[in-house]
Amino acid sequence: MCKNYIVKKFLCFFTVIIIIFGSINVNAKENKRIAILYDSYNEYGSEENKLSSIVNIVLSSGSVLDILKVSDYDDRDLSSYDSLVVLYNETCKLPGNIMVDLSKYNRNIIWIGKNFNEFVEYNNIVGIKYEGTLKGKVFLKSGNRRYSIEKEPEISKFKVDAGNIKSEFKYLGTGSETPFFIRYKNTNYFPYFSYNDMSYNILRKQMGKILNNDLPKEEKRYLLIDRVYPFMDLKEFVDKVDFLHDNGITFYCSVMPVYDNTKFDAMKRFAEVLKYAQDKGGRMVLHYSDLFGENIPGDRVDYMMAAGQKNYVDYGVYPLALDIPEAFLCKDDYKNLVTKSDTIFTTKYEKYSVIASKNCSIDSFKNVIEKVNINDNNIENLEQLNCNTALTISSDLSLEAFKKMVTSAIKKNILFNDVSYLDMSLNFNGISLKSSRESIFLNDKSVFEKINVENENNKSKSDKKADKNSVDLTNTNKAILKVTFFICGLFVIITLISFRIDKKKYFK
Amino acid sequence: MNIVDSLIVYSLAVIWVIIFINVVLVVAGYIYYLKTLKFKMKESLEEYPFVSVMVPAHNEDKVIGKTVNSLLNFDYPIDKYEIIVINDNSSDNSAEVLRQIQEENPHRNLIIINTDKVTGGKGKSNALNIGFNASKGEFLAIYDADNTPEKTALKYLLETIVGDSVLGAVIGKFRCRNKNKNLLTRFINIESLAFQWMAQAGRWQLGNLCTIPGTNFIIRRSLIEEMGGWDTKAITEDTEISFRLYRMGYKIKFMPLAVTWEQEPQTLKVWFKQRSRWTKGNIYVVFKNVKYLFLKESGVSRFDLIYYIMIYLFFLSAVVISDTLFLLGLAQIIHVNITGYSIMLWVMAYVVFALSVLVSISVEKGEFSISNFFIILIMYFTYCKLWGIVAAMGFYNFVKDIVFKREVKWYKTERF
Repeated sequence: MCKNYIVKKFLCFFTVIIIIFGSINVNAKENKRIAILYDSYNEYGSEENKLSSIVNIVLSSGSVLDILKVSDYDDRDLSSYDSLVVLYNETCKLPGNIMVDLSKYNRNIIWIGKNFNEFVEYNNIVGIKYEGTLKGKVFLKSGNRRYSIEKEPEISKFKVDAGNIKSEFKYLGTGSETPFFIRYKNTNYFPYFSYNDMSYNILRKQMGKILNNDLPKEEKRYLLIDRVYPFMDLKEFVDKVDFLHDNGITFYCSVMPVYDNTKFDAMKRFAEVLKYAQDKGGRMVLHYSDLFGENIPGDRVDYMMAAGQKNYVDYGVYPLALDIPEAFLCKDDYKNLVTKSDTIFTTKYEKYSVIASKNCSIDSFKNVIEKVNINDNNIENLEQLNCNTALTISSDLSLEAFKKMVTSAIKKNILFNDVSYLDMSLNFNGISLKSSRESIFLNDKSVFEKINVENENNKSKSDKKADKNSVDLTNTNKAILKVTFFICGLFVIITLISFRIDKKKYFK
Repeated sequence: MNIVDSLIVYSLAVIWVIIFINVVLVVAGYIYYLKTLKFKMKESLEEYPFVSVMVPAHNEDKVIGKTVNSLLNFDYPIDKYEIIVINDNSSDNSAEVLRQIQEENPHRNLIIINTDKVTGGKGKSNALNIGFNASKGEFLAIYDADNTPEKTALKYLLETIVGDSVLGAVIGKFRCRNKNKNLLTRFINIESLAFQWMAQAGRWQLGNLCTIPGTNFIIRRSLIEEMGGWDTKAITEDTEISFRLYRMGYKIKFMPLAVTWEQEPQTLKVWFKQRSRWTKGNIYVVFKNVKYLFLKESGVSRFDLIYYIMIYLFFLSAVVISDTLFLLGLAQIIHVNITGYSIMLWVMAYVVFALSVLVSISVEKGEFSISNFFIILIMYFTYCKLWGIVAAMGFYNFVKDIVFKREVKWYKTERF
């Protein structure tokens, strides 16, 4: 009887454990597939590349992306996509086949820009009409009722019943424009956004929620020294590295590929300086070659960057990711290059942003980090960026200006994340580089010991002085811990003895 | 290394030295406890010297009746001891209560001395001197006015002191009568047990050292005569007399079988006043006796002096400094250049503290319980931290007394 009871207890216990662990989703994460359906990358008369902004947001979610141009739209099965993003920069009539396919689609649609009314009318969504913005006021019609939402500095939420339709309107933003979005069942409508104001952050945040199933994502901020090249002031660069190290900031260096005159002294000195930066908490990223242009084929750029990578590795410098313009992503002949890394640093407003002239597919990336140049104009708003960001300072900036910029960022409560926590990999022609928290691996062998030895030899004067002045209690700590563990063991034994004596006292 | 680093190293070093000293004391105290399990006290003694039991009291009408009745019930020949209650400048009903007890016990050696602000009102030491002058016992046993000693307490104390001529005094154990009243009294109960079994028993085992706790102790009359009575400037006259005894070459033994029960403070306010008074008093005694630290003839009392200096000066300052620096570090106001020490160090300090207190209370019947275990766990972060404030206040008041030449008065503990 007793034995059966014990067996039953164990069975119940293990059943509970199985239920608990069985309910935990242990499926491997599959990359989501997202499609962007767009008419043009910008609004007429505006230089702002809105398509590029949306692409960046989607890639940051770790999704595989298909960019579909409306003018090149062919009948396809949209149901294979986990979410759809529709970007209309121009007012026009929607093609019939697109309308049909969108209406059949029953997962999340994110509609940005114009022509949403057409979609609403086509789908007989009764009563809801968007009438546009008027100096901060938004008017919405639902049946015969008209609602105006006053501009407010905070988010306000309204629930409106209109016949059988229950809709939720959210109003956000404080700009003279009135960015807001409407949610209707599976459709999220953003009438407006601009990269130049906070509406972009709001869009990014909401899209991030939708694309990631409301899972919270922590945005990271990194510091990046941009366009590091052999002919910059090396002494100043070392001082900048020391400054960052003394302030406990780890950083990235976007290094230009060097593939000519690699045996010159200038290259050797440059490599020593980069290794010094590596030792001081820096991680390298391979910048795209300046030879890139419309007429340079992708395999040529690939070849030059591979040569640059090999050169660096030979000198003990380990670039671990790619710094590329977004335009690379949609060019077929550059696909081979961009897939060499699972991490890309992208620049938004360079000459070569995403301008997809036809449909294209972009594979997912593990990490997409947007480069944002720190300057006096944007430093106030940097902490509000809702994406993984590399706050960028050019290597050409003077030491004083560099220090001032970094100090200002810190004072604005920008916390620079530790670069060693971002795992990256880059493979070029048999040279495989991977990074983890513990080390950098070259073809699966750790280069860490090598770095450590060189670290000792390359210690700066301030480091050595700091070593002399700081007190290292490691050995004392270990000794005390050993003794206290022994004491705790002894006390436990004494306590058990006392417990037995105490029991005897009670039963006397 | 800047001043902050130096302070951290100082506080780490001091705290860990004290922790290890206390560990040694706990182990030694436990060894003594195991010895006491084999003690066989006599049912009756060969002879019963005359003992004067003295009870200094000031406004103790709530408790004095119970105390005197307990003293009248000692398992000791009634013609071989006298009870002298010094009702010192009381403004309550103490005199009336005592008179009534005296009337109810006309054949007992119960002497009541009522003083006023002219003849008395100058503190416990002065009251004891008054009682001493009226006493005739070969031995003097002292009890506080809120104590209810067990019947065998006096006999056990006396048996111990007459058994060894080197003993100048013998102290018994005090227990908390109102320990279950609230969380504070439970803290105090654990504290008193830990103090007695660790500091008293441990020190006795290692160096034959103890400190008179002010109540439930017996002392040879001749020694008081030699000392010229109690020091009226001392608030903690018990500590003061302990040091004097050691300098005279005598020892003070801990006899845990002689038990008294006393009422402890039930509110924080009362507790705070009492403890800061003790701290002030002990600081006075330390300052008074520090000159003997470097004299060989001071004997073992030097170790006691060092122990008190370590606790009251170094340890408490280290705790205050480390807590302050911890908070400043959290607020990122200071920067520390010390490497290699981890949070595990503090965790282990806490674990050692908890276990050592647990060991100390495990020797008392019925105290080794789950509830006491949890109380010990929270004690470190609550009750122990209050001691830092108490120490600071005590030191501050001590300095004020010196600067403003304040007279010692009765700062008696409020009774419930």
